[in-house]
Amino acid sequence: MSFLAPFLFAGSLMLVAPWLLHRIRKPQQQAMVFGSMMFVPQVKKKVLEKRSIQHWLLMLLRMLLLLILVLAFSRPYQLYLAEALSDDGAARHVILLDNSYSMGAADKFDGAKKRALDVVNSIDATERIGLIVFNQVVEDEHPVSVENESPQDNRRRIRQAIEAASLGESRTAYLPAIQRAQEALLSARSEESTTQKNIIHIVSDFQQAGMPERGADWRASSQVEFKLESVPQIQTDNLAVSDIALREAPQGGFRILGQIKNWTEQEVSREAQLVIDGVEAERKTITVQAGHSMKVSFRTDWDVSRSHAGFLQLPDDDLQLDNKRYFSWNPEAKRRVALLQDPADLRRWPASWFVNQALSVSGDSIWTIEEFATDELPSVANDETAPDALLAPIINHLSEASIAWLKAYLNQGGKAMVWIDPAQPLDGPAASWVASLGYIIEGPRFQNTHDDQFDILSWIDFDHAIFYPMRDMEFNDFTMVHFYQYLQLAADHSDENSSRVLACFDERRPALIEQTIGDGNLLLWTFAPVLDATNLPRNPKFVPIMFETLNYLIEARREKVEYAVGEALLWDESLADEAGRIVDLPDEAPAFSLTRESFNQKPPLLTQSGIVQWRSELSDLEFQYAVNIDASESNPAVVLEDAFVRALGSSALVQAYNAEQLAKIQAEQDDRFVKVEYGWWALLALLIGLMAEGFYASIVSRREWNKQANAEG
Amino acid sequence: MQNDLHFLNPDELAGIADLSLLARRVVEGLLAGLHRSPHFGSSIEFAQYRQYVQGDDPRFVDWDLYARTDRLHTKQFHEETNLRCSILLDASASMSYASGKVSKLDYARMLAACLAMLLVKQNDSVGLSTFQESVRLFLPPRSSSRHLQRVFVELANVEAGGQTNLVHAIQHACETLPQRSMVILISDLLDAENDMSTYIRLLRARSFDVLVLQISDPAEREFSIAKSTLLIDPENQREQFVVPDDMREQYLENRRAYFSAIRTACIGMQVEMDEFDTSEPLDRALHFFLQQRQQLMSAMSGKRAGAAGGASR
Repeated sequence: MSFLAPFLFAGSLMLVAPWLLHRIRKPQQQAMVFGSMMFVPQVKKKVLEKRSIQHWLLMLLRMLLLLILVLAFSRPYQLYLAEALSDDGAARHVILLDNSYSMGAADKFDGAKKRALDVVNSIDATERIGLIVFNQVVEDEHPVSVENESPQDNRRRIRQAIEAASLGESRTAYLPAIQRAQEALLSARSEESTTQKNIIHIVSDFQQAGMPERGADWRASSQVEFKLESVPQIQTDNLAVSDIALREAPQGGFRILGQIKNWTEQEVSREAQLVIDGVEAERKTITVQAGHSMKVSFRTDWDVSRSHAGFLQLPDDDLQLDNKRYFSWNPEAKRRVALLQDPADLRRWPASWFVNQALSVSGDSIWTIEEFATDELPSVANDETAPDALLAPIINHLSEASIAWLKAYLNQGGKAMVWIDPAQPLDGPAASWVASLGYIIEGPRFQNTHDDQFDILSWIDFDHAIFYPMRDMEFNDFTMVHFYQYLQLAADHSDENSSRVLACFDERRPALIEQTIGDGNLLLWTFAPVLDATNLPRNPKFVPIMFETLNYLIEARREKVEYAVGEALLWDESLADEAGRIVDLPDEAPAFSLTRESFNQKPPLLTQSGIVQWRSELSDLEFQYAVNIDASESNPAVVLEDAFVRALGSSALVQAYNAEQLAKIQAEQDDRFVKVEYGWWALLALLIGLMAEGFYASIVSRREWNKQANAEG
Repeated sequence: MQNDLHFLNPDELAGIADLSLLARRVVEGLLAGLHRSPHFGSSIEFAQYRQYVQGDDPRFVDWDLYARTDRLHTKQFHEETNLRCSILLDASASMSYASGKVSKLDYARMLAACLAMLLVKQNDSVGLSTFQESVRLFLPPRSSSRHLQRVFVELANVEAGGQTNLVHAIQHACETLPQRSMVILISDLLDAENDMSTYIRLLRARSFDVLVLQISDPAEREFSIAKSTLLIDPENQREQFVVPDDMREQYLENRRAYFSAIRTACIGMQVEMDEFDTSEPLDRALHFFLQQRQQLMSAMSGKRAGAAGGASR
């Protein structure tokens, strides 16, 4: 409802007039203390009250008349969709029934089913209904019409489907369900009338968490209307395990960190139970303030080289599903990194010492460093047992055999990071090898070195994986890293060069080059991490650069596999065999075998929380992954009806909720809308009201007059 | 007459804060108007003759009798036989009502002060007892001027509040006052809960001489409320709308019936009762008291004369 002359609402101030008149004309009813009350007969109070009520009714009636008058002059109107007004009478309906796990709070889901049945009953008997049971995905769909189905059968089918609907474990996502419902409605439309109404009834608790991300620009068609059937929020006594993390402790064993969220409005104390591999490991009593989260930490000395799975659990409350959160641990083989030592007595602080310090092994690092002397390199196994990466802080002195080993290592898929010491002559096999990489060696940058003479890195490829973590303004300033000496290399354009410069000095002299050699990967620094060449080893950026570079080389940054209910299972690449796998899903179905081909055709959908287990048919390898419910579903915050429609409704539907925008629509210019004014109806109501007021006022005044006449008589 | 008694007009007297001053002005003015000295009453009453013995005061020797009989006799007198009077003052909330300048309690206060002054001036003892639901103050009868000042102070401090309950006040008087005392009850007698006559009968049973001064307000007497009003009972805060014209007749009838019953009972018990409204001068009430006192003293004198005659024979 909008108004063509809303400013005339200022006239509603006139409503005060009858009240003022009433106050002015009302006989002053004094109150006084009177001693001889015991002689006052007690009979007239009702008469007085009745008279007072009559006067108040008369005043309210007059105020109402003034309000109608103001309303009439403000010219109320309503815009209707022309299509909607001119439909052929019958409408199609799809009921979206939310079965996300938040609907499991108390008897909310039963209430939702009852509401859905009420919707079915309220729909005209000739109209057809479909049903979609949804959570994060469309879980169950019952079409609007089935061939040769009568409306009565349609209704019966939908009722049965509603009654059979069960609670899911996924979170809410409205968008996919609405998209599917619209698709079902509009695809059915082409077969019948094009002017039919299409109504989507959404029965849900309308959790904010189910709304699409900001920026999702999908809107429902203007031919689809929403009717929101909100299931009342129940004040639940709910604590949730909202997150859990498992880390390897530096002292050995695990550190398990759980996050407990208190969604209630009072402080709650509960006992958290940690179960690992089916055995209760520990219990802790925690107290969480209302609306707050609290972290709870457990230490275990379980063997990190074995796989483990377990869960953190709270006692049951109103919403049980979020009381348990699973975790899993799959041991990862440590990567072997070979570090070549500098030639003996070359410097007080050798380059290899700096590198070793920067990459020092801690409890949870995924590599181990084995140091070799330069002349030991050829004796290192260069087969499947070869190190996963090679770090050579100074390659100037590598022998022919060592260079040959390096080349073979790289060709076989080895990863290497090497430095050239600009203070040492580069000749012999190392120089030849560098030249063979496609670079011309132009000698050291400076003839003499001293602290006031240096270059800095003028360009860094922050999009590369090595430097990407340092791209933010907080970390991307490298101007304090000074280079007092480095080896000037120039690309030899005569060769097809597969190298890529990741950082360079002025005049595009490369500082770090990445080159693919055979199946391997080489990172070449044109300086050595020694203090007479650069202050980088003393700079805080040295450790991150070394760390990220080695991570990049050995591909350590594997995505941690975590599943949420509603997601599809991923093919586990951790198992080496390419053939058959056995997978054990969290639900109670037995384990089954899979091939990659069959898996790709239809990856299983995870519908329950728990532990999914992958096993190899050929080896003893076994991996298990936690499947958890989406913690955001526990959040009881709801989205308001108008916000919901604004986010997902068509522009026409949104405008119906937005009176200001609606007023801007030039209804005459937009043939989609029909404007209906109600001002005349208000005037008619005013006329009738005036007559009623006159009639009532005459009755009241006649009674007064009669009373006065009796008193005088 | 009204002008002559302007000093008794309660509206004017209400401007005098000092009760002793007010009482002195009223009492002395009143007695002067009677042209009779208050100092020559029959306060010393002859009892009998006794043969003179050594040591008797020669002033009391009846020389006339010595001349007739040649024997010395001395006159013996009754010891002080003055009136013991206690004023029971109703200080319930209903006494606070005032349609004019003077409330019933103000009027009762002034009346009590004047009566006390009058009594003490005639060498009588006066006591004071104020009551609401229970007895709030009790001063036993005394005749000293210091006691009189105390009575004035207490009267000045009386504040209206609570409900009327004559039962406790009368029971208390019965227990504490000596027999044959005079009890002056100053009240509006508005006690719907209790049967007033029953308790007045109690006083009579203890041989008290009872005087009931019923105080009322002109508006209460005539129900002279002009327009529809919400009336509030000061004692129990009960509220009621009234349309005066519609209910005046009924009100007056109720009131008449109530006080008629009390008055009839009083007559039956030989208790003097009269109604005084707050607009009338105090003189009628004081005259009423003096008249009753005179009758009482006459009756007492008659008894004693009879007793003395018997003794002389």
